[in-house]
Amino acid sequence: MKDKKEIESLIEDSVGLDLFGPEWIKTYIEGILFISDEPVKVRIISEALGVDKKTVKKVLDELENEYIEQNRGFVIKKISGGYRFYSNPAISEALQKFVKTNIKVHLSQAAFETLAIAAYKQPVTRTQIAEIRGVRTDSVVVTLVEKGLLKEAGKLKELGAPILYRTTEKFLELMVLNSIKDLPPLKDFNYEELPKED
Amino acid sequence: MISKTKNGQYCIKHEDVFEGPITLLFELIRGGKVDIYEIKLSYVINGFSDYIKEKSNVLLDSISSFIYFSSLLVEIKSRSLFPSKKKDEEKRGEMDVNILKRREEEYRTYRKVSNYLNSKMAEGFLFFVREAPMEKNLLNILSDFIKKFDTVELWLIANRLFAGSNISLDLDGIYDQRSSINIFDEMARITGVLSGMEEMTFKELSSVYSNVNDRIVSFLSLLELYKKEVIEIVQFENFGNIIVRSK
Repeated sequence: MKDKKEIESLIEDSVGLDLFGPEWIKTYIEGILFISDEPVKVRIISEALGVDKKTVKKVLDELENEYIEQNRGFVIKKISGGYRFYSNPAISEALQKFVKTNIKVHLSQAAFETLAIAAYKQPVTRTQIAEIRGVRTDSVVVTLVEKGLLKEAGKLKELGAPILYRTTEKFLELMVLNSIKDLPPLKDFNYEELPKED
Repeated sequence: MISKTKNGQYCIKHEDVFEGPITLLFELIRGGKVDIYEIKLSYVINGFSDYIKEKSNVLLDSISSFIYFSSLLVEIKSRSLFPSKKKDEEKRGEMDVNILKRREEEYRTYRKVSNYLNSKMAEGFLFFVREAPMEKNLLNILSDFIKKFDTVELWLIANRLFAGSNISLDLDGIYDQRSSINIFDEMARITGVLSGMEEMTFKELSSVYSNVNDRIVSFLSLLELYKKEVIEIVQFENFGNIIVRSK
Protein backbone atom coordinates (compact mmCIF):
# COMPACT_ATOMS: atom_id res chain seq x y z
CA MET A 1 0.00 0.00 0.00
CA LYS A 2 1.27 3.47 -0.90
CA ASP A 3 1.88 5.85 1.95
CA LYS A 4 0.51 9.41 2.09
CA LYS A 5 3.67 11.04 0.70
CA GLU A 6 3.75 8.71 -2.29
CA ILE A 7 0.12 9.50 -3.07
CA GLU A 8 0.80 13.22 -2.68
CA SER A 9 3.72 13.13 -5.09
CA LEU A 10 1.74 11.01 -7.57
CA ILE A 11 -1.08 13.53 -7.64
CA GLU A 12 1.34 16.45 -7.83
CA ASP A 13 3.09 14.81 -10.78
CA SER A 14 -0.13 14.02 -12.61
CA VAL A 15 -2.12 17.19 -12.13
CA GLY A 16 0.51 19.62 -11.00
CA LEU A 17 -1.45 20.81 -8.01
CA ASP A 18 -0.37 21.30 -4.44
CA LEU A 19 -2.28 18.58 -2.63
CA PHE A 20 -2.81 20.68 0.44
CA GLY A 21 -3.48 23.97 -1.24
CA PRO A 22 -6.64 25.79 -0.10
CA GLU A 23 -8.77 24.42 -2.96
CA TRP A 24 -7.79 20.83 -2.22
CA ILE A 25 -8.63 21.15 1.47
CA LYS A 26 -12.14 22.17 0.54
CA THR A 27 -12.40 19.18 -1.83
CA TYR A 28 -11.16 16.80 0.82
CA ILE A 29 -13.56 18.09 3.43
CA GLU A 30 -16.47 17.89 1.02
CA GLY A 31 -15.51 14.29 0.27
CA ILE A 32 -15.25 13.39 3.95
CA LEU A 33 -18.65 14.87 4.72
CA PHE A 34 -20.14 13.20 1.65
CA ILE A 35 -19.22 9.68 2.75
CA SER A 36 -20.00 10.15 6.45
CA ASP A 37 -23.28 8.94 7.85
CA GLU A 38 -22.91 10.82 11.12
CA PRO A 39 -21.69 14.30 12.13
CA VAL A 40 -17.91 14.61 11.70
CA LYS A 41 -16.00 16.59 14.28
CA VAL A 42 -13.46 19.25 13.27
CA ARG A 43 -10.78 17.41 15.26
CA ILE A 44 -11.31 14.23 13.22
CA ILE A 45 -10.98 16.10 9.90
CA SER A 46 -7.98 18.01 11.20
CA GLU A 47 -6.20 14.80 12.21
CA ALA A 48 -7.10 13.00 8.97
CA LEU A 49 -5.79 15.77 6.73
CA GLY A 50 -3.00 17.05 8.94
CA VAL A 51 -4.48 20.54 8.76
CA ASP A 52 -4.96 22.72 11.82
CA LYS A 53 -8.45 22.90 13.31
CA LYS A 54 -8.77 26.63 12.69
CA THR A 55 -8.33 26.13 8.93
CA VAL A 56 -10.77 23.22 8.88
CA LYS A 57 -13.36 25.31 10.73
CA LYS A 58 -12.81 28.22 8.31
CA VAL A 59 -13.29 25.98 5.26
CA LEU A 60 -16.40 24.40 6.76
CA ASP A 61 -17.89 27.85 7.38
CA GLU A 62 -17.06 28.81 3.78
CA LEU A 63 -18.72 25.68 2.44
CA GLU A 64 -21.75 26.26 4.66
CA ASN A 65 -22.18 29.78 3.28
CA GLU A 66 -21.49 28.74 -0.31
CA TYR A 67 -24.26 26.16 -0.29
CA ILE A 68 -26.73 28.62 1.16
CA GLU A 69 -25.76 31.39 -1.28
CA GLN A 70 -25.95 29.03 -4.25
CA ASN A 71 -29.29 27.68 -3.05
CA ARG A 72 -28.02 24.12 -3.35
CA GLY A 73 -30.10 21.02 -2.69
CA PHE A 74 -28.02 20.26 0.35
CA VAL A 75 -26.65 22.22 3.27
CA ILE A 76 -24.02 21.68 5.93
CA LYS A 77 -25.28 21.81 9.47
CA LYS A 78 -23.36 21.82 12.70
CA ILE A 79 -25.05 19.13 14.75
CA SER A 80 -24.01 17.42 17.94
CA GLY A 81 -20.52 18.91 17.86
CA GLY A 82 -19.84 17.87 14.26
CA TYR A 83 -20.68 18.75 10.68
CA ARG A 84 -22.94 16.80 8.36
CA PHE A 85 -24.62 17.10 4.96
CA TYR A 86 -28.38 17.52 5.12
CA SER A 87 -30.90 18.12 2.38
CA ASN A 88 -32.10 21.70 2.01
CA PRO A 89 -35.15 21.98 4.31
CA ALA A 90 -36.86 24.21 1.74
CA ILE A 91 -37.41 21.20 -0.51
CA SER A 92 -38.29 18.69 2.20
CA GLU A 93 -41.85 18.17 0.93
CA ALA A 94 -40.67 17.03 -2.49
CA LEU A 95 -37.84 14.93 -1.05
CA GLN A 96 -40.24 13.09 1.22
CA LYS A 97 -41.31 11.03 -1.80
CA PHE A 98 -37.74 9.84 -2.36
CA VAL A 99 -36.96 8.85 1.19
CA LYS A 100 -36.88 5.07 1.29
CA THR A 101 -36.59 4.51 5.00
CA ASN A 102 -38.06 7.19 7.15
CA ILE A 103 -37.79 5.87 10.66
CA LYS A 104 -38.98 8.70 12.84
CA VAL A 105 -38.70 8.63 16.57
CA HIS A 106 -42.05 8.87 18.28
CA LEU A 107 -41.96 10.26 21.78
CA SER A 108 -44.76 10.56 24.30
CA GLN A 109 -45.49 13.73 26.26
CA ALA A 110 -43.96 12.03 29.31
CA ALA A 111 -40.80 11.33 27.33
CA PHE A 112 -40.54 14.95 26.17
CA GLU A 113 -40.99 16.21 29.74
CA THR A 114 -38.34 13.80 31.00
CA LEU A 115 -35.92 14.88 28.27
CA ALA A 116 -36.65 18.54 29.01
CA ILE A 117 -35.78 18.10 32.69
CA ALA A 118 -32.71 15.99 31.91
CA ALA A 119 -31.47 18.49 29.32
CA TYR A 120 -31.48 21.40 31.76
CA LYS A 121 -30.66 19.66 35.02
CA GLN A 122 -28.15 17.06 33.89
CA PRO A 123 -26.68 15.00 35.36
CA VAL A 124 -29.97 14.08 36.99
CA THR A 125 -31.41 11.08 38.84
CA ARG A 126 -34.75 9.44 38.17
CA THR A 127 -36.01 10.68 41.55
CA GLN A 128 -35.13 14.27 40.70
CA ILE A 129 -37.08 13.98 37.45
CA ALA A 130 -39.99 12.37 39.29
CA GLU A 131 -40.07 15.18 41.86
CA ILE A 132 -40.66 17.74 39.13
CA ARG A 133 -43.06 15.67 37.05
CA GLY A 134 -44.93 14.33 40.06
CA VAL A 135 -44.94 10.75 38.81
CA ARG A 136 -42.48 7.90 38.74
CA THR A 137 -40.41 8.03 35.59
CA ASP A 138 -38.59 4.69 35.72
CA SER A 139 -40.16 3.21 32.61
CA VAL A 140 -39.84 6.45 30.64
CA VAL A 141 -36.14 6.73 31.50
CA VAL A 142 -35.53 3.09 30.54
CA THR A 143 -37.23 3.68 27.18
CA LEU A 144 -35.21 6.83 26.55
CA VAL A 145 -31.98 4.98 27.38
CA GLU A 146 -33.03 2.21 24.96
CA LYS A 147 -33.70 4.78 22.27
CA GLY A 148 -30.22 6.22 22.88
CA LEU A 149 -31.50 9.64 23.95
CA LEU A 150 -30.38 9.33 27.59
CA LYS A 151 -27.29 7.63 28.94
CA GLU A 152 -25.96 6.76 32.37
CA ALA A 153 -23.42 9.23 33.73
CA GLY A 154 -22.13 7.81 36.99
CA LYS A 155 -23.80 7.67 40.37
CA LEU A 156 -24.76 10.34 42.87
CA LYS A 157 -22.61 10.24 45.98
CA GLU A 158 -25.40 9.89 48.49
CA LEU A 159 -27.35 7.13 50.19
CA GLY A 160 -28.38 4.48 47.68
CA ALA A 161 -26.01 5.89 45.05
CA PRO A 162 -28.75 6.54 42.46
CA ILE A 163 -27.76 6.48 38.80
CA LEU A 164 -27.25 9.85 37.11
CA TYR A 165 -28.44 10.42 33.55
CA ARG A 166 -27.35 12.74 30.75
CA THR A 167 -28.70 13.46 27.31
CA THR A 168 -26.75 11.92 24.42
CA GLU A 169 -25.35 13.09 21.09
CA LYS A 170 -28.30 11.35 19.44
CA PHE A 171 -30.59 13.64 21.45
CA LEU A 172 -28.74 16.65 20.00
CA GLU A 173 -29.06 15.22 16.48
CA LEU A 174 -32.77 14.59 16.96
CA MET A 175 -33.35 18.12 18.24
CA VAL A 176 -31.12 19.65 15.52
CA LEU A 177 -28.82 21.13 18.17
CA ASN A 178 -25.09 21.51 18.02
CA SER A 179 -24.61 21.61 21.77
CA ILE A 180 -26.76 21.48 24.89
CA LYS A 181 -25.68 25.09 25.41
CA ASP A 182 -27.74 26.01 22.34
CA LEU A 183 -30.94 25.41 24.27
CA PRO A 184 -32.59 28.70 25.24
CA PRO A 185 -32.11 29.69 28.90
CA LEU A 186 -34.93 28.72 31.25
CA LYS A 187 -35.77 32.38 31.82
CA ASP A 188 -36.99 32.44 28.21
CA PHE A 189 -39.75 30.15 29.45
CA ASN A 190 -40.59 32.65 32.22
CA TYR A 191 -38.75 30.73 34.88
CA GLU A 192 -36.04 31.78 37.30
CA GLU A 193 -34.02 29.10 39.06
CA LEU A 194 -33.81 29.61 42.82
CA PRO A 195 -30.35 29.55 44.35
CA LYS A 196 -29.57 26.09 45.66
CA GLU A 197 -30.24 25.55 49.36
CA ASP A 198 -27.37 24.35 51.55
CA MET B 1 -60.47 23.85 35.41
CA ILE B 2 -61.96 24.84 38.71
CA SER B 3 -65.04 26.93 39.12
CA LYS B 4 -67.19 27.91 42.09
CA THR B 5 -70.78 26.76 42.05
CA LYS B 6 -73.77 28.75 43.25
CA ASN B 7 -73.80 26.98 46.61
CA GLY B 8 -70.19 27.95 47.18
CA GLN B 9 -68.61 24.59 46.40
CA TYR B 10 -65.70 24.16 44.06
CA CYS B 11 -66.29 22.09 40.96
CA ILE B 12 -63.51 20.40 38.98
CA LYS B 13 -63.67 19.59 35.29
CA HIS B 14 -61.38 16.62 34.92
CA GLU B 15 -61.13 16.78 31.13
CA ASP B 16 -58.67 19.63 31.53
CA VAL B 17 -57.34 18.89 34.94
CA PHE B 18 -55.75 15.52 34.26
CA GLU B 19 -53.80 16.46 31.19
CA GLY B 20 -50.69 16.51 33.32
CA PRO B 21 -49.94 14.61 36.49
CA ILE B 22 -49.34 17.55 38.76
CA THR B 23 -51.92 19.84 37.21
CA LEU B 24 -54.76 18.97 39.53
CA LEU B 25 -53.11 20.27 42.65
CA PHE B 26 -51.72 23.26 40.86
CA GLU B 27 -55.08 24.11 39.43
CA LEU B 28 -56.36 24.15 42.98
CA ILE B 29 -53.88 26.65 44.25
CA ARG B 30 -53.42 28.50 40.98
CA GLY B 31 -52.52 32.09 41.45
CA GLY B 32 -53.84 32.00 45.00
CA LYS B 33 -57.37 32.29 43.62
CA VAL B 34 -58.40 29.18 45.47
CA ASP B 35 -57.46 28.56 49.06
CA ILE B 36 -56.30 25.02 49.30
CA TYR B 37 -57.89 24.66 52.73
CA GLU B 38 -61.33 25.36 51.27
CA ILE B 39 -61.32 22.44 48.87
CA LYS B 40 -63.55 19.54 49.83
CA LEU B 41 -61.48 16.47 49.19
CA SER B 42 -64.57 14.33 48.69
CA TYR B 43 -65.40 16.45 45.61
CA VAL B 44 -61.95 15.88 44.20
CA ILE B 45 -62.12 12.12 44.79
CA ASN B 46 -65.67 11.76 43.49
CA GLY B 47 -64.86 13.86 40.45
CA PHE B 48 -61.90 11.69 39.59
CA SER B 49 -63.92 8.49 40.12
CA ASP B 50 -66.50 9.79 37.63
CA TYR B 51 -63.70 10.64 35.22
CA ILE B 52 -62.29 7.10 35.40
CA LYS B 53 -65.76 5.62 34.86
CA GLU B 54 -66.32 7.80 31.80
CA LYS B 55 -62.96 7.08 30.21
CA SER B 56 -62.16 3.53 29.22
CA ASN B 57 -58.45 4.20 28.69
CA VAL B 58 -56.94 5.98 31.66
CA LEU B 59 -53.19 5.83 31.89
CA LEU B 60 -51.80 4.19 34.98
CA ASP B 61 -49.50 7.19 35.32
CA SER B 62 -52.51 9.51 35.62
CA ILE B 63 -54.08 7.39 38.33
CA SER B 64 -50.88 6.98 40.33
CA SER B 65 -50.13 10.69 40.12
CA PHE B 66 -53.67 11.49 41.21
CA ILE B 67 -53.23 9.28 44.27
CA TYR B 68 -49.86 10.82 45.01
CA PHE B 69 -51.11 14.38 44.85
CA SER B 70 -54.33 13.60 46.62
CA SER B 71 -52.23 12.27 49.47
CA LEU B 72 -50.34 15.57 49.51
CA LEU B 73 -53.66 17.37 49.71
CA VAL B 74 -54.78 15.13 52.56
CA GLU B 75 -51.56 15.83 54.43
CA ILE B 76 -51.84 19.59 54.03
CA LYS B 77 -55.50 19.62 54.87
CA SER B 78 -55.24 17.31 57.86
CA ARG B 79 -52.61 19.63 59.27
CA SER B 80 -55.02 22.50 58.93
CA LEU B 81 -57.70 20.62 60.88
CA PHE B 82 -55.65 20.62 64.03
CA PRO B 83 -55.89 23.88 65.96
CA SER B 84 -52.59 25.68 65.98
CA LYS B 85 -51.64 28.57 68.18
CA LYS B 86 -48.02 28.61 67.27
CA LYS B 87 -47.03 31.05 64.60
CA ASP B 88 -44.28 28.83 63.24
CA GLU B 89 -46.80 26.09 62.48
CA GLU B 90 -48.94 28.57 60.59
CA LYS B 91 -45.87 29.66 58.73
CA ARG B 92 -45.17 26.03 57.92
CA GLY B 93 -48.60 25.74 56.33
CA GLU B 94 -47.85 28.78 54.19
CA MET B 95 -44.52 27.28 53.30
CA ASP B 96 -46.16 24.06 52.09
CA VAL B 97 -48.37 26.04 49.76
CA ASN B 98 -45.42 28.11 48.57
CA ILE B 99 -43.42 24.98 47.86
CA LEU B 100 -46.33 23.58 45.91
CA LYS B 101 -46.70 26.83 44.00
CA ARG B 102 -43.01 26.75 43.24
CA ARG B 103 -43.32 23.16 42.03
CA GLU B 104 -46.21 24.10 39.84
CA GLU B 105 -44.20 26.89 38.28
CA GLU B 106 -41.25 24.56 37.72
CA TYR B 107 -43.41 21.82 36.23
CA ARG B 108 -45.23 24.25 33.94
CA THR B 109 -41.86 25.56 32.75
CA TYR B 110 -40.66 22.09 31.83
CA ARG B 111 -43.97 21.46 30.07
CA LYS B 112 -43.16 24.51 27.94
CA VAL B 113 -39.63 23.21 27.37
CA SER B 114 -41.04 19.84 26.33
CA ASN B 115 -43.28 21.60 23.80
CA TYR B 116 -40.22 23.47 22.56
CA LEU B 117 -38.30 20.19 22.16
CA ASN B 118 -41.28 18.73 20.33
CA SER B 119 -41.17 21.61 17.84
CA LYS B 120 -37.38 21.26 17.50
CA MET B 121 -37.78 17.59 16.67
CA ALA B 122 -40.43 18.44 14.07
CA GLU B 123 -37.95 20.94 12.60
CA GLY B 124 -35.44 18.11 12.34
CA PHE B 125 -37.84 16.10 10.19
CA LEU B 126 -37.39 18.69 7.43
CA PHE B 127 -33.75 17.67 7.06
CA PHE B 128 -32.90 14.40 5.37
CA VAL B 129 -29.56 12.69 5.31
CA ARG B 130 -28.11 10.25 2.83
CA GLU B 131 -29.66 6.84 3.29
CA ALA B 132 -27.65 4.67 5.64
CA PRO B 133 -27.23 1.00 4.78
CA MET B 134 -30.17 -1.19 5.65
CA GLU B 135 -28.21 -2.97 8.36
CA LYS B 136 -27.78 0.27 10.28
CA ASN B 137 -31.46 1.12 10.06
CA LEU B 138 -32.29 -2.34 11.27
CA LEU B 139 -29.92 -2.01 14.21
CA ASN B 140 -31.59 1.26 15.18
CA ILE B 141 -34.99 -0.36 15.44
CA LEU B 142 -33.89 -3.80 16.56
CA SER B 143 -34.34 -3.29 20.28
CA ASP B 144 -38.00 -2.39 19.86
CA PHE B 145 -38.55 -5.13 17.30
CA ILE B 146 -37.19 -7.93 19.41
CA LYS B 147 -39.61 -7.16 22.19
CA LYS B 148 -42.62 -7.32 19.94
CA PHE B 149 -41.90 -10.27 17.67
CA ASP B 150 -40.98 -13.89 18.08
CA THR B 151 -38.39 -15.61 15.90
CA VAL B 152 -40.91 -16.80 13.31
CA GLU B 153 -42.25 -13.25 12.90
CA LEU B 154 -38.70 -11.90 12.62
CA TRP B 155 -38.01 -14.49 9.91
CA LEU B 156 -41.13 -13.36 8.03
CA ILE B 157 -40.02 -9.72 8.33
CA ALA B 158 -36.56 -10.61 7.04
CA ASN B 159 -38.12 -12.43 4.08
CA ARG B 160 -40.19 -9.37 3.22
CA LEU B 161 -37.15 -7.10 3.53
CA PHE B 162 -35.20 -9.27 1.12
CA ALA B 163 -38.17 -9.82 -1.19
CA GLY B 164 -36.93 -7.22 -3.67
CA SER B 165 -33.42 -8.65 -3.87
CA ASN B 166 -32.14 -11.88 -5.37
CA ILE B 167 -31.51 -13.37 -1.98
CA SER B 168 -33.63 -16.38 -1.27
CA LEU B 169 -34.27 -17.37 2.31
CA ASP B 170 -36.08 -20.66 2.08
CA LEU B 171 -35.78 -21.89 5.61
CA ASP B 172 -38.85 -24.14 5.55
CA GLY B 173 -38.17 -27.46 7.13
CA ILE B 174 -34.54 -26.68 7.81
CA TYR B 175 -34.55 -28.66 11.02
CA ASP B 176 -36.73 -31.49 9.74
CA GLN B 177 -33.97 -33.55 8.15
CA ARG B 178 -30.71 -34.81 9.55
CA SER B 179 -27.52 -34.60 7.54
CA SER B 180 -26.47 -37.80 5.79
CA ILE B 181 -22.77 -36.87 5.64
CA ASN B 182 -20.05 -36.11 8.16
CA ILE B 183 -17.37 -33.43 8.13
CA PHE B 184 -14.40 -35.80 7.71
CA ASP B 185 -15.90 -37.56 4.67
CA GLU B 186 -16.89 -34.22 3.18
CA MET B 187 -13.39 -32.77 3.69
CA ALA B 188 -11.97 -35.77 1.81
CA ARG B 189 -14.54 -35.36 -0.98
CA ILE B 190 -13.86 -31.62 -1.43
CA THR B 191 -10.09 -32.20 -1.47
CA GLY B 192 -10.58 -34.88 -4.13
CA VAL B 193 -12.85 -32.71 -6.31
CA LEU B 194 -10.49 -29.74 -6.10
CA SER B 195 -7.40 -31.78 -6.97
CA GLY B 196 -8.38 -31.86 -10.62
CA MET B 197 -9.66 -28.27 -10.77
CA GLU B 198 -8.07 -24.86 -10.57
CA GLU B 199 -10.94 -23.42 -8.60
CA MET B 200 -14.62 -24.07 -7.85
CA THR B 201 -17.41 -22.15 -6.24
CA PHE B 202 -19.02 -23.43 -3.07
CA LYS B 203 -22.31 -23.52 -4.97
CA GLU B 204 -20.79 -25.98 -7.44
CA LEU B 205 -19.13 -27.99 -4.70
CA SER B 206 -22.34 -28.38 -2.74
CA SER B 207 -24.65 -28.83 -5.73
CA VAL B 208 -24.61 -32.59 -5.17
CA TYR B 209 -26.68 -32.08 -2.01
CA SER B 210 -30.36 -31.22 -1.95
CA ASN B 211 -30.63 -31.38 1.84
CA VAL B 212 -29.90 -28.00 3.47
CA ASN B 213 -28.20 -29.66 6.42
CA ASP B 214 -25.83 -31.51 4.07
CA ARG B 215 -24.87 -28.14 2.58
CA ILE B 216 -24.24 -26.78 6.05
CA VAL B 217 -21.94 -29.73 6.82
CA SER B 218 -20.24 -29.14 3.48
CA PHE B 219 -19.67 -25.50 4.39
CA LEU B 220 -18.30 -26.43 7.81
CA SER B 221 -15.93 -28.85 6.07
CA LEU B 222 -14.80 -26.00 3.86
CA LEU B 223 -14.03 -23.87 6.91
CA GLU B 224 -12.12 -26.75 8.48
CA LEU B 225 -10.01 -27.18 5.32
CA TYR B 226 -9.33 -23.43 5.32
CA LYS B 227 -8.26 -23.60 8.94
CA LYS B 228 -5.87 -26.43 8.06
CA GLU B 229 -4.54 -24.25 5.22
CA VAL B 230 -5.46 -26.86 2.63
CA ILE B 231 -7.56 -24.45 0.59
CA GLU B 232 -7.97 -20.71 -0.11
CA ILE B 233 -11.34 -18.99 0.02
CA VAL B 234 -12.20 -15.78 -1.83
CA GLN B 235 -15.45 -13.82 -1.85
CA PHE B 236 -15.58 -10.52 -3.69
CA GLU B 237 -18.90 -9.18 -2.40
CA ASN B 238 -21.50 -9.79 0.27
CA PHE B 239 -23.67 -12.78 -0.64
CA GLY B 240 -21.48 -13.27 -3.70
CA ASN B 241 -20.00 -16.57 -4.87
CA ILE B 242 -17.53 -18.23 -2.53
CA ILE B 243 -14.55 -19.27 -4.66
CA VAL B 244 -12.49 -22.19 -3.37
CA ARG B 245 -8.93 -23.01 -4.52
CA SER B 246 -6.45 -25.69 -3.53
CA LYS B 247 -3.25 -24.38 -1.98
